[in-house]
Amino acid sequence: MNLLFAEDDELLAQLFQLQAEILGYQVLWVANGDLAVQQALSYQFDLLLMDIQMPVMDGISAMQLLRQLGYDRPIIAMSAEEVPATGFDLVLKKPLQWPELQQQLAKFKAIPSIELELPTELKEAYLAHAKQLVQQLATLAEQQNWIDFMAIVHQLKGSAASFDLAPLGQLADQLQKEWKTIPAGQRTERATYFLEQCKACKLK
Amino acid sequence: MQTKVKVREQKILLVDDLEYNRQLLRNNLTALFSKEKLRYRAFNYFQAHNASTALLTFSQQLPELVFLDIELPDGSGLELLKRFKELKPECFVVMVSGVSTLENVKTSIASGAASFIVKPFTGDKILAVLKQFDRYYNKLPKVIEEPLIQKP
Repeated sequence: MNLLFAEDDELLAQLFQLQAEILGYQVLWVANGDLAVQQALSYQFDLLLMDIQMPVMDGISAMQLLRQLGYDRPIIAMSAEEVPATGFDLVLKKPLQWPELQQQLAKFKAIPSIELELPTELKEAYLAHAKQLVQQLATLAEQQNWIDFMAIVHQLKGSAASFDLAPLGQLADQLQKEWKTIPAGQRTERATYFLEQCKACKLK
Repeated sequence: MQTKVKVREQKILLVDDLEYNRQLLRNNLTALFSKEKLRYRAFNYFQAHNASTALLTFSQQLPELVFLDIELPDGSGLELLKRFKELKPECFVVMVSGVSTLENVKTSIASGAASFIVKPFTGDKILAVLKQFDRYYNKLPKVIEEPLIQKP
């Protein structure tokens, strides 16, 4: 079962993570409400635990934004103060007492994941398309046309994983995150490395 | 004489420059509509690969549900969203984007989007949106269907 733990107190988060992982939960920690919303929208978490007072975006605003976007999975609030419960599935009083927390967590169940339907023809058509894109990338890298290069990387990032090519999508995501920090003189080198990694993904 | 009741079929518009994405979305919408317990399941699909085609199709069809990619080759999906909401305020628009920054999400909501999907598509993300649409559509005031044949 996957938990998202949004809490700006790092030590508290580490403690929770340790204890929860012993019980077999997978935990991702984020330090503010903004990141909590972004992560929750991946729909990979069965349960969200949300601190209320957090920087950037507080826990109540984060919950409200998620609910507005149709997020219907359980969200637990954690707070030392009184919290209006509307929108939360449960409000836990801080400081958290582990035995009680453990009991409460046990009430929530893992949510079965819906598989994406992917007809073979569509998968194959996309694969051919992806191969073409990688070839185009090689040409654009030679020309040092980085604007078009990154536009294609962005496209791969957004689509590859849906077509059973998650590793390719991850490579693109990673490159996109790093790109702004790469000095102009090192772009060709980084792009070449990316293209080698793409080929290693075996676009059969 | 029994009066025939006009059954209005729901319309979905899919806007994405990549054909594969539209096909994938359509396949999965159809699959989810038939598998999951959703009230609304009879749909007509329309597709557009850029902003100008999308606007034309939207104004002709006035769909109930739209999946709208933010990054389009000839314009921003966010601008398009505003036009759609002017043409049909009750339309349920789902913004789709590879950029999951909260700024993007908030701007979408402020411009009238009902929901937001961060690419890549997964079954869980699409289902969550459909359930939300189901709840939303059920709350909308029902239009009284006019009989096709009026009694004299």
